Amino acid sequence: MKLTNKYISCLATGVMIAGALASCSEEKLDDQSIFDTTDVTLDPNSYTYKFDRWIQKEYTEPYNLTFIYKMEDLATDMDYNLVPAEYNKAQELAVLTKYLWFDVYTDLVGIDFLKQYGPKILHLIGSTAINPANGTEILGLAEGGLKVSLFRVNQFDPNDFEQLNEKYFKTMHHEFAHILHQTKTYPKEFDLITADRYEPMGWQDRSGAVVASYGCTSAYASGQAREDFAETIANYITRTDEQWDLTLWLANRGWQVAQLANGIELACTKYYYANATDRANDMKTLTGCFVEADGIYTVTDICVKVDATGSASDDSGNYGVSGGNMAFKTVPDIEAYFAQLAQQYDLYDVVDTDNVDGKAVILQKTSIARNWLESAWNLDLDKLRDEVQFRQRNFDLDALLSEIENVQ
Amino acid sequence: MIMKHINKYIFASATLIAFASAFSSCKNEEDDIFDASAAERLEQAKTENHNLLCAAPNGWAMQYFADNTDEGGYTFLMKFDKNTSVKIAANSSLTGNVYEEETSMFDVIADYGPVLTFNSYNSIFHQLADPYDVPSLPGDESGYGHRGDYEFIIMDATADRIELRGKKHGVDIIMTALPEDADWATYFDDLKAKSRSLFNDKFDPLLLDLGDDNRFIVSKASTGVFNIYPEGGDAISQTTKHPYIINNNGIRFKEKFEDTEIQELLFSEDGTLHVEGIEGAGLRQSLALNEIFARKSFSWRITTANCYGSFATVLAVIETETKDKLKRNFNSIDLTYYSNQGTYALSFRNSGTSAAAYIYGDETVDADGVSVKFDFSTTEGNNNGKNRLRDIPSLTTFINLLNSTQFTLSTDNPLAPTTVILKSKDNENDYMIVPLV
Repeated sequence: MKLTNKYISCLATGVMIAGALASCSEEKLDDQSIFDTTDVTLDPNSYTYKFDRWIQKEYTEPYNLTFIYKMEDLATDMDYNLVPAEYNKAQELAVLTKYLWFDVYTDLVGIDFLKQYGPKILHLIGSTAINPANGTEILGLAEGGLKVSLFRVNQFDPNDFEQLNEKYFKTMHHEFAHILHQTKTYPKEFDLITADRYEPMGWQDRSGAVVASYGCTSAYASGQAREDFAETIANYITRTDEQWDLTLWLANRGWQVAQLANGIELACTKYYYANATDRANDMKTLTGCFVEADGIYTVTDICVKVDATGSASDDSGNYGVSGGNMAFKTVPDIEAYFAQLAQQYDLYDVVDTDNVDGKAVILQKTSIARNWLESAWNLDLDKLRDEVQFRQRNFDLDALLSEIENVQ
Repeated sequence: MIMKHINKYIFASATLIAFASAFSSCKNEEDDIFDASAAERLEQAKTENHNLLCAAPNGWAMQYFADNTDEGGYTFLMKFDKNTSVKIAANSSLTGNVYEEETSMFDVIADYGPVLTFNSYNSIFHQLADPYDVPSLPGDESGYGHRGDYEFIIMDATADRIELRGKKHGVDIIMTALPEDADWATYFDDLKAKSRSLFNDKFDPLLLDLGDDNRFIVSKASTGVFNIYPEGGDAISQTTKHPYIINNNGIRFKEKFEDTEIQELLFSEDGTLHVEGIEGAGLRQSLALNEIFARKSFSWRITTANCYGSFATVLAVIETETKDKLKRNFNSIDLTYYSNQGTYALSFRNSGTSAAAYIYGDETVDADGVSVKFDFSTTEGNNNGKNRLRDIPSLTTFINLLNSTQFTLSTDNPLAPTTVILKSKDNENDYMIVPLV
């Protein structure tokens, strides 16, 4: 046993010697990192220097935010076919995003709010992300509470206020609402209000008027609760007074959907009988048809005749469709149209049969969002809306762009 | 005792191993294969490729294919600047077939190796990557568009040629450095002229010979896509589509033909296209020139401006007599087929009337592929034709001259012979250069 220990001792000594000698050739780590650790220094000779410098001053330095306007395909969902943003459009959207989003929050709750909770990456993408399976288009994405992607930049038209509002400004506030609730959860009672009406797969085929009567501010909101929550906030903030009134008016009514022979569905809220024969046969002429084009809500003078079963066509085609020359965007204009029509016909309301007080639901959801923003974020939703509304009506794009041109 | 010996051996072995380990440990490090780390080499490759792109003084010609088989390739000319801008020009359906150029941004990034990315939208270039429906393509492309790339893995790069592969769709794309003196707009004009001289669907079908009795019937080549099926095969079930692009050397296909290494057809001196290294392989007309000339759907126009020698002399008299007798201007005599009567005919055309004057006859072709013989009547025709024969005596002279001449046909564009030279076998000064009407 003793002898064995002696050998073991010798063996250990040998191994130690070997280890010691081996250690003398230990590989030295390269003092040069494989990562680019140099400070981000802008090249004054770069084609994009002024814009890059402006981004550095207005986004990166105050908000620690990376504003990506040169497409990084790897940073996107590779399942979609996307294209980069146009350089000029990217500049326009960059200054407006700051003016209508970042400056608003900074004015209301101070710069630290966005510095702490705002997105760390803004990524501009030229096209929409189209899902070929169902034709839906993604306008914005918020990922992990850190990154917001804004799509459709190349269709950006600064002269089309309604499109700006619907496709871009609303998207900014929608995505930011996601970031906020991804950081602090909103009350779960919200999810229960319309739980039995959500359609995650089929929302794109729904009428904005019909879902309003369920208590959703848009068809997209009727897909699932968290989108409903973000849409409630974004629509309340960005829709003008007239648009919000229209939303509540739509929500407060009954709607009958007429399906035409060509497959188009029209949701209508009034009806009359065109003559005694129609009345005898219960052939209603529906009117006050809701039409949504690129997210813009209107009620039109389209008239659709339906039979007692509600069908708009027999085997040989439509019973009859007329009108479509006028589209009304405000409640007073719609009511004026109905008043004029009532002079000619006995005009009836389509009975609201969904057993939901859509207007009350929308207001309830808005109230939950208002209270949550106040309690969780110390944000006054109405002040936020007032500020956004004011800025939406009063921006000078050329003046905002001149900040880039004159950047130091 | 045995145990003692064993222990002794163990000790000796252990000591040996220890020493061996000690010495080997001094050499335990493998020599670096590369001088720098992978990240450093990638950075270096980025810089080198960026510099290479900017170094071409007159820019690059990119031969671009989208990932579909319904459209041909697109040529873009590109001038890269060190300030990260790139000027891109095209003259194609993407620009309404006029020359246009636009500046946008580019970068070389580390991705799947060095990647050339066109990272701001260029309305000329990026429309091939837009995910919207393309009305000119069959089907609904919503969500896909043309299926074109705007990010390219740099596979190989030299000062005069860069090979790229689309990052998303994987299509191989080539860029070649432009000559310093090449004018960009003229470059596109030349390519279009080459295309026109090669392909005209009126002259379908063409015959593609890839060697080893591998022959295909080709149609619709002027669309930028070869529609081919095996010679003797079925056009409906066996047609496949092969997009190509025209360049200064010939045409290059989007992909190699199946089971071959053939991706290019090069210009031949005779105006056809050949496969390099394979005797007899290439693209040629499926019909002989005289058979094309005698097609009943074709009309060829003879005017005073395109006749030479004896033909010019007689035509000058016809012109004078038309003016004197008819008080009209002579326009042309068309070699045509008059389907109402089911016969070849000469169609005499003068000003002041749209009523055609036909003089009946026949055309015969020889098996040599280039000879043609006419046999037009000096008495038979429709009423207008007979009237012209009566009023213009030199017309009979011209017909007799035509009938008595053995013609040899030739053309500068054997694949699309829109103009044919009819030359007398007996007198090379007697010839006509007749365009297809």
